[in-house]
Amino acid sequence: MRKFLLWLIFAIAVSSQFWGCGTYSRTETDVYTISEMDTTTTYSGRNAPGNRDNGIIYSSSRTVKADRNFIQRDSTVNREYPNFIRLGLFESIGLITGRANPAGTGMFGIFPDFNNLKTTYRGSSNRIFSGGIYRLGIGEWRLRWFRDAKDWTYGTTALEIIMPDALTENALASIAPLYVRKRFYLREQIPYIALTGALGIGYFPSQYLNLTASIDIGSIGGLNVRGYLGIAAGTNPRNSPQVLMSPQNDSTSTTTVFPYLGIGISFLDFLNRVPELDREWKDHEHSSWDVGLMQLSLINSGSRSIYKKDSSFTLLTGYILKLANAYVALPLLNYKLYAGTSLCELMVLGNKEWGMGILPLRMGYWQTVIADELSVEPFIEYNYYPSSYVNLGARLNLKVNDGINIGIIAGYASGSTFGGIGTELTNQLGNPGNFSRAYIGVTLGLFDRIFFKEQLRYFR
Amino acid sequence: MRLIITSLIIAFALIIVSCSPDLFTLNQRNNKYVNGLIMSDLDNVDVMNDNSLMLYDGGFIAMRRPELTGLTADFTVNIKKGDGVMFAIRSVSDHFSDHPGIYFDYSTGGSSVIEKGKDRIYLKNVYAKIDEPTRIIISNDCSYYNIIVDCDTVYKGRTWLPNTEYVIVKALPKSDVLLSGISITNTIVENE
Repeated sequence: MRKFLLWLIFAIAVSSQFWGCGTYSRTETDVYTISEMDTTTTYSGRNAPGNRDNGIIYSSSRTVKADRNFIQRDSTVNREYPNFIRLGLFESIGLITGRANPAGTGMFGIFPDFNNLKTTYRGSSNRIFSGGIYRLGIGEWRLRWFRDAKDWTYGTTALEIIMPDALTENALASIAPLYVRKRFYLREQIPYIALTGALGIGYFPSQYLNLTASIDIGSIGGLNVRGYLGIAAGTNPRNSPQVLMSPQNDSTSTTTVFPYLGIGISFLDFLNRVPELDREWKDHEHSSWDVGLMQLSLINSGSRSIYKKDSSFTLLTGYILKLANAYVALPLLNYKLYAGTSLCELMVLGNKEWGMGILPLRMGYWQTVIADELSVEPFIEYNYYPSSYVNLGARLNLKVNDGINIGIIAGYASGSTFGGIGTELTNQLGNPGNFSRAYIGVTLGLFDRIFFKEQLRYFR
Repeated sequence: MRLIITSLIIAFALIIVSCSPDLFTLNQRNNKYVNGLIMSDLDNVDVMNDNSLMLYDGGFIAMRRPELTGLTADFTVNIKKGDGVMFAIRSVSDHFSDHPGIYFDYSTGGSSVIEKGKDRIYLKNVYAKIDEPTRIIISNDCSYYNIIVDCDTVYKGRTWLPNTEYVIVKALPKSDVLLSGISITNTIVENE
């Protein structure tokens, strides 16, 4: 316990030094003093009524008055810039390690068999993706060393888990691991393509080193795809959560060393090159019609509600929840056609009529109705894992502010849910089956930003 | 205990290293803070003391006292090698090259005042000598600006460029320049 506390103090002490550095925005203020000098000249003549005596010289009644004014005023200019190289919500990498007891995490590490998401699972045979790397809350900032050598960064993640296989005691995990990265850009236009070398050190609860090389494509709409080659080596102490949670709890520390190949994807993960740190937020380039954390729709599909156990009438029968969305504009139909996806989607039309999708494929058409306010998007969406269903619909969006939007959604969904969902959801929503339903509802986007035509880089 | 001490040492070391190595502050001892920004490679500028710094080949800095635009900037300039140094006022660090300003080039070949890219005056007799300290005072007062070299007013000009908070200094190519006795004060208070 004492050692645990000491490590915790150590982790907090080290990571706290970067909290101040970890700002995502910086503000610069300049004051200009403008001096204005002005002279007002007034000419006036007051002639007395009646005739003048002619033939003699006398002074004119015309007077000239000059007023000199001097005004000084200050003009304050505030400018907001990004202050990070990379800021991301979630990254997942499917690893090929060739080890026994593969976990079967699937492509990108996000297509597991949900029945196996438990610490007692010891792996299955014939799985290509035997492990995964998962990062939550990613930040990278510019590292200025080696005479300001280009594209070095230091960074951390709130939590990193490196899993070589299904064995819990082998999984390396750390709070706020420290990473140093160097990027070599092959393409300096959006979406960027870069070769990246990285060295990471995790120190709590596992102690490990992770050396990687990757080819990175992105970000566009906060989406990135990466190919990895690396080696990780580390130890889980005997009192680490991984060893304690392992079904084979023999209270001995474990050491893991493994090379890996990986394919990763990240969501809401934004990358800036150094020159972009000197470009104001308002001038930044955007490629998507919509990027956001969450879209929640409360719907009525006419089926039995999940909110009531009896079959009496309810206004709402279910909901649609999408997490980490990105709708990227395509160069077709004047960029109004978009391709989109989400980290995951849960579509609950009603009791026992529901489906779940990971990385659904979405295609839509974005039409602005009122600039900077109202837009409509007919779409078709195909979900293939773990459920298989098609969702055809349209959404009317009203932008409230940069982070919130509300709207109306209507559509038709049809499909079925496979096994492999896990008991957590089936206990709550009922065993899934086939479904075909029209639905209508209201929708709310939280931390969900809608962009309009003038904000997209294609129209600048 | 040893771990706690190690943690604290690392923590303090990281504080010292700081996360914004391009920013610096001068005159902390007399509370007349001058905030600085290194606009060139970090290695081309070396902040030596509380009010002195060295600019190496191409070293480029912006200094200001926040919200003070009617300013008098005072420097002791010692050109250690090379041609000289350039001062700019009525400009800003943000997109400096795109911004109009008033530049004072002080070099071994003479001095010149440039406004909005056009020569206002060339002063053949006002020139720098290698390793000989020179006091340069540049002041902004409403629409007027004064440039004083070793107590001689070498140029007094009038401009409609707005006053800004910044004094920007750049070492000319292949020049090493020591700036010491740096202060930025309020022109009006000074005159009173």
